[in-house]
Amino acid sequence: MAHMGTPCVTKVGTMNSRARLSLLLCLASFAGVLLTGLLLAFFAQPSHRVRWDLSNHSTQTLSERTTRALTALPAESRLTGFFFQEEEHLLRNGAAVYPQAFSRLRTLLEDARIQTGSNLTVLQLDETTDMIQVEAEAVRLQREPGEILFLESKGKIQRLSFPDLFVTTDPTADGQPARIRQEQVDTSLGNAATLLIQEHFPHIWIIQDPTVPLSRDLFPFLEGQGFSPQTVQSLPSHQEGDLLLIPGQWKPFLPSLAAEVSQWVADGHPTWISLGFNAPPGVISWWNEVLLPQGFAFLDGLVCEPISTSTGSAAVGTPDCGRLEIRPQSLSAQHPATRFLTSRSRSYLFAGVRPLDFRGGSNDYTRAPLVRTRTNAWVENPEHPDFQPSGHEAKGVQNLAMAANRWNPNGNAPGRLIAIGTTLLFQQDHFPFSKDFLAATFRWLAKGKEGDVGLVPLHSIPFRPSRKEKVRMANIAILGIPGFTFLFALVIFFRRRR
Amino acid sequence: MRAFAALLRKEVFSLFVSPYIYLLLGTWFLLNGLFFSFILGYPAVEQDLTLFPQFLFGSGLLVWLLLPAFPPLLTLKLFAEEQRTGTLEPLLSAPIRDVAIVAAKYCAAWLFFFTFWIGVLLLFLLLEFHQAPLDWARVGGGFLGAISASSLFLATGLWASSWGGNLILAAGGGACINFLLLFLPVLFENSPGRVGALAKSLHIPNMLDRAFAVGLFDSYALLFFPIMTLLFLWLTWVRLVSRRWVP
Repeated sequence: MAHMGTPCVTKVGTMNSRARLSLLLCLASFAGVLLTGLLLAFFAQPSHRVRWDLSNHSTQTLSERTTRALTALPAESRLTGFFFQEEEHLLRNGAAVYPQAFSRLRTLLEDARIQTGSNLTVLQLDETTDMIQVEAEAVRLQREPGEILFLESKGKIQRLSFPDLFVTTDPTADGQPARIRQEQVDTSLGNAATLLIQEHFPHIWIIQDPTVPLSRDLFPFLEGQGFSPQTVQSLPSHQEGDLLLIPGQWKPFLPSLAAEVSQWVADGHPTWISLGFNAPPGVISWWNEVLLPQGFAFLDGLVCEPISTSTGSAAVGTPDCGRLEIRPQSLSAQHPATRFLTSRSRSYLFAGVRPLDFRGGSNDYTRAPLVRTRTNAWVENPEHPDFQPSGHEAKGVQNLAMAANRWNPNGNAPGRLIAIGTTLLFQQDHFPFSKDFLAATFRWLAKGKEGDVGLVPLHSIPFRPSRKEKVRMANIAILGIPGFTFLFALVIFFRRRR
Repeated sequence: MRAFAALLRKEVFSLFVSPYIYLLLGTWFLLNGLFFSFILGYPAVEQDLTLFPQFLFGSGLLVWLLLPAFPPLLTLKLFAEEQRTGTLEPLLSAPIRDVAIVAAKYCAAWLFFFTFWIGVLLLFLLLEFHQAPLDWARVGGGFLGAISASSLFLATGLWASSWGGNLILAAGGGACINFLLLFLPVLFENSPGRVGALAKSLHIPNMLDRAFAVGLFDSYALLFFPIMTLLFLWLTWVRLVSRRWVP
């Protein structure tokens, strides 16, 4: 019996030990996994997450405006990205357009996913994704070739195609590839989100002169910036943050409207006034009186600059002198409305501009020029135009746009006003080139945080070593460093054998 | 602490005098050199060198092939070899805490794997020497991400090495876990609901490609790798001390 019982006891004992060991192992492992899961879930929350963008140009995260707009989307909103290289001309001559663009988009979409938490489902589809899923999504969204991003919320869809997001150059016949010059992913995404959530946004009351035609893209643009634009004949009751826009004026206001506008400005409500070089003198003098406390005035004349030619000489004597190329250096780098635009490598076109200058003003306001000409500008007398700087005409730097802000040491004071000496910014031909200037200045007027808006240059760093350098680098990388290591392994091997 | 330092010295020394490890290192340098030369000749990178760290550290074969495969080859000997040769039991019965044994072996492997990355850094210095205008924030980010990921993969390798005395199981098991950590989130990232969300939060290639390698430092990604590393070191420790839990 003993010899029968002993193995039995040992067996039971061994099994118990193993069971206990397994249980303990499982419990300890499970505790570790659980704790890890809890910690990761805690740190994955958007509110517990911090992102530091240390790249050269710090453009790997979405702006505060876009993040706010995306976060405000209702739950179960979706952002779908289709990353497929579809446009043949952007692939020619070894172009880096798609790798650059998709790298930017992937990084920014990942940022959108992280910053918005569970509100927004972000789906990125590319060549590695299951093609059935890609096809299903494309059919569901009725996608056309070239459309990259789809932002959906409560059945409404905003579509963004490649040109909405990136400005590219075409490849050339001599073998130059297409390049990305600028991008506007952040702005376009922010605009799309803003359009989807739009309910109660600040109004822009537009007093439109019927003889000043506005670009048909102006209203969608302002809506995309988070405003609710509306043309009015008299000023309605307003709320905090509403703006008044006068995009040109050819005849004096009716007395009732003039009183309302005058009161609006005096009360310190945000105002944008735009008067071109050919605005009637009566209108100019009325506005100069209204703007007296702000401390600047519209002057007479047409601001001209010599036209730079390809030979390097400066041409004068033609009406084209009134088309001013405003370089980023000509924008105020101190003023919050234009500070962000000065870092962009793009020019603005201001045409038919009337100069402005400081005049009078009360101590209640601070005032600053926003846009200035170069030193070789002059003010042409429109009654006897010869488009050349003559002896009696004002010469030198001219102010083209000015901003006033009511002084308040505590900040947040109403009373922001922008005056600009051209009306063409809002018109069809010039409007596409003025968007980011308008976006930045309107947001300053509306007391929004002036963020990075509009087109952003995408910085490429080309590196084309010579063939000899390439061979040298390959030799060191493939032969030199590994060869030395293998040699070292041999030395150690033989030393250890001895 | 003194025992830990002594054990660390011993482990580092045994790694640094092993010809096998240098063969591994040479192979790593050779494959990285090949990838480096290949990526450098890629037209998109010639047009824009800022993409280089992303191609190398983010979406390249370094991440998908070398990074998961090499750390277990380095760690396979740390516990499995000791078990196979029967030196683990004397080590466990020596007056040194189990946690110090795990920490010393892990630190030795980590220190040696750092030399793996120094070789890759030499490639970037080679570029710098040839006047390549590098964005060092991206390069540094790429390195930080790759070192963080290799720290995790060394920990999984160490855990696999503690399973038993079989070296193939140790290397294969470690590599298998690493590939699962890489590929499972990729397979499920587009799934709806919580599965997709979980997959996205564990997506290592995304952390490397869309954060570290673009010069973007995310607190979650910075914490993810140390926390996961600690988990696998904990599992290794549990495996080691479990021998004493049962009489």
